[in-house]
Amino acid sequence: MSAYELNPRNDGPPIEIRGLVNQFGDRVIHQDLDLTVERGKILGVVGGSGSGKTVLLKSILGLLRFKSGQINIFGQDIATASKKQKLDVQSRSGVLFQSGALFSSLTVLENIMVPMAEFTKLNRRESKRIGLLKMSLAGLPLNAADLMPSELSGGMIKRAALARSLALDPELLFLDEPTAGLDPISAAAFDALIKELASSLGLTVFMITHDLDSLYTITDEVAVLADKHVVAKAPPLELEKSDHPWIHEYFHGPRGRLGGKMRDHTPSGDQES
Amino acid sequence: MASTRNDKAQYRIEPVGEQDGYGRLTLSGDWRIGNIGGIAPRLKSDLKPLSSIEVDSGALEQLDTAGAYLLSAVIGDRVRGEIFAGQDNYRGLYDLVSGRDLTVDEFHEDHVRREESENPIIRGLAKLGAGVAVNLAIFTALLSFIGRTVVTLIATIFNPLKLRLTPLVSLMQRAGIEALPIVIASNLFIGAVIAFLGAMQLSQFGAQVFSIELVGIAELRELGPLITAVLLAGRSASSFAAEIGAMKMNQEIDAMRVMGIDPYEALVLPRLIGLVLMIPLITFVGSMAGMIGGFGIIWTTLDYGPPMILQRTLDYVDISHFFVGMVKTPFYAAAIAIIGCHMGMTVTEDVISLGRQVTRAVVQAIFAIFVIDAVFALLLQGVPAQ
Repeated sequence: MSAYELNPRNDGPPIEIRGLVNQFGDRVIHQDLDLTVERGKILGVVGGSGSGKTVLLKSILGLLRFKSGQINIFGQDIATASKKQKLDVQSRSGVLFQSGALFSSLTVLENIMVPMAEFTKLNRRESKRIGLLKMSLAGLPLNAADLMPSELSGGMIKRAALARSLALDPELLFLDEPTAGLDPISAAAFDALIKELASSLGLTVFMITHDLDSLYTITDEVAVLADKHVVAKAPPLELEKSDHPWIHEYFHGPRGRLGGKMRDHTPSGDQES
Repeated sequence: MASTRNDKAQYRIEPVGEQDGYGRLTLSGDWRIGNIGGIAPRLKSDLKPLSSIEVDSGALEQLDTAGAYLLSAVIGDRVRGEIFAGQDNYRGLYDLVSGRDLTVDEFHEDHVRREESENPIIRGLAKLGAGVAVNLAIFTALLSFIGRTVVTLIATIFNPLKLRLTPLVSLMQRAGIEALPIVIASNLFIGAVIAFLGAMQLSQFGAQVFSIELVGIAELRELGPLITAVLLAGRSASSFAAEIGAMKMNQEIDAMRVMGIDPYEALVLPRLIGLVLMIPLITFVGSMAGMIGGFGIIWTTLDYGPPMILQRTLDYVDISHFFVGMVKTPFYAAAIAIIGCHMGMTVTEDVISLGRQVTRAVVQAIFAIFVIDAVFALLLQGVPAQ
């Protein structure tokens, strides 16, 4: 979907997971899970509650030690990566956590400046300006710069967190339920924003979502987590036709149909912003 | 690939043709956020004499929004010809950011100006004023909290069935019984220190026998109650504030309200009553521990045996000292419980405020204890009558 790649580096697909096994005690979360995300694609990840979406995200981000299998990010095996290699991967990826995870003791602008202070040699003045630019890209009004996270509304928290995850121009963006808790209008605007940013910045996006509208409007492909592994990975229109019971229920259940109908009435989702 | 990449952001400026103020800016290398630190002012002054700029970006290897933003901010509208011709990816990036420079710049200047050029005196005064206003608001909020608590308390006195026994007993256990070890240990040490000091100083003029009265009076009247209250303030004021604050953050207080449960009745009152009931008992144990610690030191350093110490205590330490000490304790307890619960109730949604309110609860509770102690010391200075 993304038209081009901004700064190509031939070092393997952004995310490549092979034979991932996650297990807590006797409870197996993932069994031989395989998933590859190609460059420039927006991948949606869906699955029922408890199907291990968040565990998968945490495994990829290195927040959780998995039992066996291999996860490569930009061709780098994250289990065996050195500290320096890990930092390199981290500076090339951004994460938008479900609740925003803004640092509550810093203002919005300072939050966005944190990654710049850690990874670049920009002085305060320059990083401030770039921080303001990111706010503007994320659709935040600039006068929110000095607000504390506790003073923001839900939608603004998401935007501020998006601005922070974009601070270093990542090539790979992880989104954990970006539209959860937003009203449908804000959610649609946020979807449009992500789509626009992804295509103009050439981002690869890994997005966990429950929002069918998001799936139809912005994802290139959807990976379905069920039965402890990825049961299908295909564009949403193809998944509709799947006869896997969970996928069928997901797309054709009472809420799924609604999503399908709405899509028919939405021209293409591009001109929403 | 990586090894052959030119890692620095570089540029070259050369005049084009005869025309004045027309130059070509040749970009090369990696113009991403990690490499462009400090380049902006240099580039800006180098480009100053030029009025129209042709940009040659054929050798440009990497660009991101930060780099594009820097270029667009420095070059502005002096571009001649097409920028990033044939490099659609960079062009798109440039277009994405260039529309935003003006607003960002303007806001940034404004921001910096506000931050840097404020009169320090006025800023200090404004801070002082804001502080006074905040503290006044805190004070009135505390008063209204005390008012609500007292009203709830009176209502409960007339209708004792409303008192929640289970949390009350659980709190008496947690805030009272479980505090005993630390109260006993601290009072033992303080009593010993007082005895030691007294014995050392008084023996200089042969009055070391008075150290028995010193320990008895000091422990019963002042130190026992005070040490116990300060320990309970550290233990209970903080835990009350943290418990109620966490419930507040989790909207549990709101949930109680919509179910028709009065949080003052369910949360504040058991804590208040529980602590007020327990503190005299804990204080008694604490005072006794202090006296034992002190007398132990006197026994070992001055060689007065237990019969002598007991006799002298009975003869010269008036029982009224004990009551002067005890009468203060419920006030200490009320201060600890009310301040702790109030700070918990005023936690807002963010994590910072929880930490701040817990700290405040402890500091203010201890301060209140000292104030109460001073007031009672003044009121009861004639007790016992000589």
